[in-house]
Amino acid sequence: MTSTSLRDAIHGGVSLIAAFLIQAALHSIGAPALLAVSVFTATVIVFAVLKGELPGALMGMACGLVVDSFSLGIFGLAGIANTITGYAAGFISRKINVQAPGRLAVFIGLMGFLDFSLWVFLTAVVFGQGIPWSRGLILIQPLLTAVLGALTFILIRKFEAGRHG
Amino acid sequence: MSRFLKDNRKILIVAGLLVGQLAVVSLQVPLGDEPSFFERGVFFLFAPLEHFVHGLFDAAGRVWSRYLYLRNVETQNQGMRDELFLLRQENVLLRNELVRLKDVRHIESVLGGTYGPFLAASVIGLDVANPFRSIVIDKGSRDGLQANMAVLDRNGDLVGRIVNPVSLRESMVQLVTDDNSAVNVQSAKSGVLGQLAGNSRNGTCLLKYILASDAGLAEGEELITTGFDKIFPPGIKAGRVVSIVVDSSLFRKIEVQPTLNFRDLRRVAVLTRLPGERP
Repeated sequence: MTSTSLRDAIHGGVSLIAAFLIQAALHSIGAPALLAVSVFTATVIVFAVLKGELPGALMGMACGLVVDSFSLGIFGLAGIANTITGYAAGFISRKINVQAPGRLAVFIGLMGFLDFSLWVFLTAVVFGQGIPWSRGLILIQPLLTAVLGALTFILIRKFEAGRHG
Repeated sequence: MSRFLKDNRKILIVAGLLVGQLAVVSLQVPLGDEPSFFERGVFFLFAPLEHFVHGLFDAAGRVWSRYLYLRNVETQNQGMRDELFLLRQENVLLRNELVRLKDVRHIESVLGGTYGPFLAASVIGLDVANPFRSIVIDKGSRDGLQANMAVLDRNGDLVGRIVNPVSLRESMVQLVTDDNSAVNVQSAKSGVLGQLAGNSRNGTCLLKYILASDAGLAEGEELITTGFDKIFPPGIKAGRVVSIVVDSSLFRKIEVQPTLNFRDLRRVAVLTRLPGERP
């Protein structure tokens, strides 16, 4: 394993734990907060933009399987959706410029919508399980995920800029 | 061939990951609702983190309530004393009423079943993908919890049952609003029997297998558990009928508002006596 791969793996592990802690903290606000924003999806997309398509896909798989482990739904569905999203986010972000905050927020929003659509398709259409629509509250998930992801990305960039002087 | 593999390395790895996860999905079929070793492993690994975060918020909340709201304690205390007095009166009246209505052996079975030994637990997590399906509580196998133990809210109303995975200090609870939940219930008024199934799309329930020709059930009726499923003791409040639709199908479409309140789901009671276990 090269030093870059090792560093990516450590960053991935830390990001996964941070995402889990934030998600657990959201529980204190209540069920609507869990439906309105997907911390794991934001983490996968930001990680994919920063590291590339393959680390993004691996991160997607790890985050998705953690989500599946804490849900009574079919184990592996969020894993598949997040793996595809991580790969797509990493691949597309290499082809277009998504460094500006506005563009990045739109990009994360679109990728969040892709992830949400994949999960709904797999859960409801393929496996016939229920989706917690909650009077449409869940539909704002990609929007709030984009805001969270863009803020996280900006913070990481500022932190890196500060570290490198 | 090697050039093809080299050129398409990334896409092949991702395809491998997806195939692997599809295999995980298909492996789940023979297991049914039982979680796989991998799923149990991730739960065991991450549940203590959830416990930690909940403990952190709990501690912060305690500091807040103890130090900043201390001046309200006396007022709250007086209010609680009054409430306790009224509840005791109500309890005595209800017990007297029960004695009047039922024979002694039946009372013993009802009280023994409903008010058997229980363990109070805090809710430390909600289902990440769908909050209406499950919760995670801060008690596990170390506290004597096992799958299929009934879980009630602080008012003694039905919440769900313990399901696997159960780790040392955390357990997962399947809510009555989960699609795969099934509870045998009857109407407290008309005595109509049915099966209460979850509807995780909006956090409500459906009362199933009530024939369209059966006219003995009305909107607003309260549903209680029967105990026939050998999981939930009889007499626990489960929900209230909110709408009844009769169409061309064999059964009525009955929507039920469960008694569990998601906004108030912070503390629960686990009945530690397993189904069929003698006191």
